[in-house]
Amino acid sequence: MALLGSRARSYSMLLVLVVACASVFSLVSAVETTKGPTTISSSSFISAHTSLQLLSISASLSIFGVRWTSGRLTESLQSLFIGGAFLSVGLFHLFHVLSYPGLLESSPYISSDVTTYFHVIARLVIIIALLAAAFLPFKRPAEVSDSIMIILGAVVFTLLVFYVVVFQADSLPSIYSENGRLTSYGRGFEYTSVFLFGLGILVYSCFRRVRRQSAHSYIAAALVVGFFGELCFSLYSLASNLVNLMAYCFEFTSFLILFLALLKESVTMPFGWLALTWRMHEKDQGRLELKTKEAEEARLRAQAHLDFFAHDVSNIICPIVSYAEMLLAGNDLTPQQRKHVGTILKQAQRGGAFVANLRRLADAEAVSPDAFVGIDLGRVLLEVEGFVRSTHPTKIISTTQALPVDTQAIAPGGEHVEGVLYEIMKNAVEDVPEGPVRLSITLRQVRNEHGKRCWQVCITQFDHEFPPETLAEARVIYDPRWGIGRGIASSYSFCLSIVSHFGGRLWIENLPKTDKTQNSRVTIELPTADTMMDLSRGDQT
Amino acid sequence: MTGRMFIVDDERTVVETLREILVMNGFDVLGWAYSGEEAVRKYASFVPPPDIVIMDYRLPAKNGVEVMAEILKLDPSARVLFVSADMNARSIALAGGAVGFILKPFGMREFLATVQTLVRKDGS
Repeated sequence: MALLGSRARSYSMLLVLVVACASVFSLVSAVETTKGPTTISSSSFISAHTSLQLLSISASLSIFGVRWTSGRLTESLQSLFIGGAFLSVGLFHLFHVLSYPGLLESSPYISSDVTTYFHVIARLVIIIALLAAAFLPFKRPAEVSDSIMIILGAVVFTLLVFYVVVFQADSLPSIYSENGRLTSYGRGFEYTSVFLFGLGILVYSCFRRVRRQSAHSYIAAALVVGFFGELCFSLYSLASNLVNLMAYCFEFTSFLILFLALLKESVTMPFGWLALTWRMHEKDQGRLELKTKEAEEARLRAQAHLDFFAHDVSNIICPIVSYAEMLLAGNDLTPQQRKHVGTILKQAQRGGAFVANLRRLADAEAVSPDAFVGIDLGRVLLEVEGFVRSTHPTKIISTTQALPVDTQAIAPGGEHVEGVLYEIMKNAVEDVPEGPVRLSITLRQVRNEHGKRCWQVCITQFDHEFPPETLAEARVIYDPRWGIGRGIASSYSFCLSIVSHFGGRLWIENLPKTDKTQNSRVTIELPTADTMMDLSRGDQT
Repeated sequence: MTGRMFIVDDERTVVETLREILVMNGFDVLGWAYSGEEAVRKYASFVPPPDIVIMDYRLPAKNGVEVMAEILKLDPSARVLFVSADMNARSIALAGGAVGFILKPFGMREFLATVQTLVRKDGS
């Protein structure tokens, strides 16, 4: 409907314009025919002519200026071509005004022929350029090279014409007689021009239907006005006739319409789209903020639900584990019952670990990297070891430590890394049901595979091996080289976050078996950090 | 090894389990409470006060840290051991004055080891 409305409006506008121009033209022609040619005084004519021509020059150069300065706002090669042509047109009109009788009469090169040639050529350039532009691809983007070529072409063409008209005037046929009338050549140019303007109206009217470009409507309108201007130019018998002055008025009006066409296409419409896009962008921004807020609220709700879930499941598991341990501590069970209670205990512990790990993973997702403050790994390792000893007083734990003596081993991760180290040592102690637990803890600075400095913590457990399924799960989850997956074995999930944000690695392995023993090792590599600034920047590998 | 214990947890089965573990291992359980208000009221009635209060973090109406603050106001020498499924509660509880923290779900051995360590420290 909007399109139909727009098309109907442009048709109406054209029709009104044709009727108005035809009325004015008919009126002036009728007056000229019935009362004879109306001639105004030479001085008045020159003043009026110069004023109208200066307006036309301004309009021509504005057409060029609008297209040139709008740059990449519009991507139309067609409008760029028209803009370039009007640079020539403006200059030809300027030459026409300057060479007009009464202005530069002292120059030996100036004559009425020269003056008239500039004006005729200017009008021919307009109609030929508009006809050529009609066949240029409207939507083809104009490159910078196109702009330069068109401007250079316009300037070179203008200078060439200027040279021929001014300095080679003798070789051109005379188109204006000294008695103030056009010669037969001059009439020929005028009729050609009228024909071409008529052709232009037909072409743009057809193209306007096919291409549905609003600029085409404006160009067609300008051509209608220009056509009546050309008719006026072909009718006058003396330059100072009213009909000649009328022709200049039509000419200026058609330039003005073309200027509006270019202004609309090169400035108004792009800015309109920009404003529309901006409004849509603002709306989308608002929607995005709303969705982000909703997502955050949903995350918090999910976190709260998970907290309740973990709390309730933990409360269910606690008595199962405790009573199973109580039964195993007593002597009332048969070997078969002891085996079954052991399975219940193990499965309950796995369930508890699963819930705890699920919570850790959720916490890891929620923690901002900014919260990963630096910690001294050496100090933390000693504290964690002491804590594990205190919570497992019945265990015989022997450790050997190799920690840096004279330097702090600062790494990102804060209390989350502390939690991971606690999990590793606790698991190491609890994985050995009977007998002593022998651990070796080393902390040293190494360069990783990318050549970056990092702290490497190795916790080796003697006389212990990881089952193959544990190795597979841990490898999938923690080693970025294998891709980061998130299975249910989500222990050490904070390290996953740390690895994602800061770089580093965490892996487990069984060491090569010797004749006497099989040992296993957990290794964590975290990037070194000297200051808080280093942490916030994130020393990514 | 002996000591006077007070259990605060909203889960009756957990209270029952902890009570059994403690009694079986020679501890004296002075009482238990299922809510924060009940806990503060009962704590004020104990003479002498318990050696250790075993406190859950997630309680109805008031959380464990708030209840601990009220108990510490009544008795600054009170020693509170937190048990919670919420790892994040650890730092809050320790900062609020708790003497220990056990992450749920825990087993009898881990719980006993922690309680015994605290009682030993208290005795020394």
